[in-house]
Amino acid sequence: MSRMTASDEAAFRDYVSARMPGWRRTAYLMCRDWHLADDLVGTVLGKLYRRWRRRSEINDVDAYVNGMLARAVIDETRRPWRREHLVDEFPADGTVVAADTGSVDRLTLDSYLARLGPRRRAVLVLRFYCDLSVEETADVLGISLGTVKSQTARGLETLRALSLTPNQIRQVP
Amino acid sequence: MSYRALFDATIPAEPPPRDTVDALIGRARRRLALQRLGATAGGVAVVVAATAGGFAVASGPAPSWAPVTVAPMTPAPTTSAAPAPRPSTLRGVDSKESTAHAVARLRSAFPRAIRDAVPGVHLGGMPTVVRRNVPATPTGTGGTYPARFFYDMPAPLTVEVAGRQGKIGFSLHRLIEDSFCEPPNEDPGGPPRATATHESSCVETKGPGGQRVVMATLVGPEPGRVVIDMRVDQPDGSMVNVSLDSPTGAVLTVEQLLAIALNPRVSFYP
Repeated sequence: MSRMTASDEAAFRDYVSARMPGWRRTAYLMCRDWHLADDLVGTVLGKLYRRWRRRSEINDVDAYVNGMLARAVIDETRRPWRREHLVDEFPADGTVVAADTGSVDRLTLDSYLARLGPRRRAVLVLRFYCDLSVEETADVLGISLGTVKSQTARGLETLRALSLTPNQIRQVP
Repeated sequence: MSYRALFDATIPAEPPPRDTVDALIGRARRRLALQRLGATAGGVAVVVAATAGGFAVASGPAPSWAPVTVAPMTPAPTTSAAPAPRPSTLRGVDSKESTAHAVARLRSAFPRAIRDAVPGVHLGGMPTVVRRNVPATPTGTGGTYPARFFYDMPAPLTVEVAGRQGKIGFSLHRLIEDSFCEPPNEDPGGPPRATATHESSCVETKGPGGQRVVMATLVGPEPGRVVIDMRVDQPDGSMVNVSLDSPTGAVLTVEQLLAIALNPRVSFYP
């Protein structure tokens, strides 16, 4: 472990200060719990601090942090007392096929995310909130490109439908 | 509407962050420094030296339990001690307790242990307790530490005594080897840390029941802060780790920290 110099630490503080609000929001989207989001951001920040002097070895630090956050959320939700009871497949009656069919009335993005498993939710957040590519998402989560694509497909369909009906986004189902 | 805006719309009003950036960085820095102090297994024989320990940083009466060995944690000459072989089996027995039960038990046990040891203390809420799994890892001497788990607090608990605040945390482990003061070198046989920016010390001693007690004290690196990291090896094969981060002059005394660690409620086993 190498020791942080004052300039390293100042750079670290600047980097973290600028991104902390975004990390909290990203963590919240993935775990839907502000308390846990704060825990996870603190954990990830500690890991990043240890690696900060060797950050030049990391291709994209922002993507690296988002990946650590996603993995931390998935690890946390694997713990038995936190385990969510989720369905693997989204029920057919909740599927949004088009904005003008009226089916979107029963669904908001919030309720859709709530029904996803933590890994699929992380995939969507990384792809469409953090703007990571399919390759980057697969890399940071340690899953295949095909898995990212398949887990993204239904989410993308839902997002497209919701993006056409802005007045209904905040509607509680 | 962009996809990002759709996601933003699902985020409710944000509560203020629990910790400031400076507090989080300070915690990360102290954790790193404590890791260097030897909270993990290293593999070098304990340096035995009759040097004063780090008790002066804590207020209150002088400790009644005399240190039996002291490892000064100031920069030291390069050591040539070879890694000693260490056991690669877990001490103690398998716990039959469910994780949910253990978490609930420890969530209430730890605050009670603090209140028992520190009358009049105010606590900043209930602790969060999690179980963390550790995969099998090589010992570095040809053996393997088996997979194991421990209970941990992801965020420390605020304690306030007479208007002074500190942060206390704990973790409970099954032992794989005796706790010990690791020499100051980061790597066995490596160069000494000649550029330490903080003062630190480590003391190995015995508890009232003969338990092995290891206490590492780190002063700084922030001015006026001290971190005490205490590990108590229990006869049942478990280890209690209590750490206190507080202003110099200490919120709790060393005796109070030891009393918390020795409280029978704070136990790996139910």
